[in-house]
Amino acid sequence: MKNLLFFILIHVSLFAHGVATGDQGYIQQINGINFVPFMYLGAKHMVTGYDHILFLVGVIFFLYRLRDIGIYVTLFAIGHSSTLIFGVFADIHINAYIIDAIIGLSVVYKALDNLGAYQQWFGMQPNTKITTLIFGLFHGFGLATKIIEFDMDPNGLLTNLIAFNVGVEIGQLLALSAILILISYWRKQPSFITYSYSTNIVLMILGFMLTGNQLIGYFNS
Amino acid sequence: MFNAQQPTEKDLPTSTQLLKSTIIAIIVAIILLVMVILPAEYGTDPTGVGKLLGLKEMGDIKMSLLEESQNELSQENNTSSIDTDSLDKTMVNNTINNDVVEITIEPGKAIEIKLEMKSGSLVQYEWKTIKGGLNYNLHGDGYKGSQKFISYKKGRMVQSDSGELQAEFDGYHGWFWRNREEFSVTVILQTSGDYIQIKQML
Repeated sequence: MKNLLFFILIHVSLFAHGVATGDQGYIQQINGINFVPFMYLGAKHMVTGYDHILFLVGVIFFLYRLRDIGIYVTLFAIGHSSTLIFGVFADIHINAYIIDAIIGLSVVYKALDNLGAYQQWFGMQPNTKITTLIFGLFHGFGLATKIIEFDMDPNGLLTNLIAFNVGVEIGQLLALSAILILISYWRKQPSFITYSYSTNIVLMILGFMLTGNQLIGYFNS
Repeated sequence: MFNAQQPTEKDLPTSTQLLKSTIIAIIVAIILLVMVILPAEYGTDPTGVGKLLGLKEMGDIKMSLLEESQNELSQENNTSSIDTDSLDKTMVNNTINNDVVEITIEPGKAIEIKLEMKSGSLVQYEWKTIKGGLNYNLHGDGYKGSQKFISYKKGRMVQSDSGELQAEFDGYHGWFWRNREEFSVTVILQTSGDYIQIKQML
């Protein structure tokens, strides 16, 4: 157990003779089709990527029916799957800081949407399904940028990408299930409506924080 | 004030349903932890499922990479720094060297052979394996303390490579090879050109 903790604490990007360690190191060592390993890496990326999770929390915050949740999550998945595959194959190099800053803003957007800000400010409600799809496209470009950084072998790339994408969806379902269970406990309390305003403010703060952090990274790089 | 309605009683799961979901979630998490995460991250596979899924290999590779990087770091800390002043004097007269090195790499193991070169000097090289492919990284490190690093060329499962290596800076430039085959791989390296010495680093 002590060993496990020790390894967790080590920074992932230790380099030795130009060989990366961790996930990236593993990817650079393998060759050809590795379906389950890439599925695992996709799921891991989703579950440990708080930016995607925060956006999902925003999306489902006021969705109570499983059917609605299914529709929105599917739209998000269609969005990020298409840009993930397209981004890697077209080798589109969007600056990782910029795309992650936009992902941060998507969290801000959704929090404001939940608060009804667009109805108050502009007298209209932007179509929530279309915006979920559009932000899905941005999240997919973020995923594609990460994969390009992984430096995957061209041999078996498409199959491995599809595996990664399947993993992303599995990870998303796992994360979503956990979020839904937790938020359902809360929804049964009267405090849900009392604090849903401030919770969306907190979500917005976190979104702005992510954006700011990425912009600082961009100007420092 | 929100763009949503308050949840009605029928929108929400009952307490029993919620409790059931929580218990299922904990069980799923434990199963994934033991069968997927432990093998994929640490190469620990108590159930054997990780090996079946190909995830144990991932954990094994990660652990061996980590171990190697730690060994390298501790080596760097232990070896005394090279006196670059005295080296500069010997480097005034660079000589043309020729070497042929043959070395066998066990499965899963890595070796590194480097040439000590001055910035800008040129070397012709050729390497090939007798059988099987190797992952390689042709790269350079500056002398201790210089923090310089460059990767010239990389490849996976490659059987041979040749070309010209021009040192970007003073230091050690050469090949890191890893054998990901199931069997031992022998590599033969020929170098010829302007370098101070050839050295096996790993």
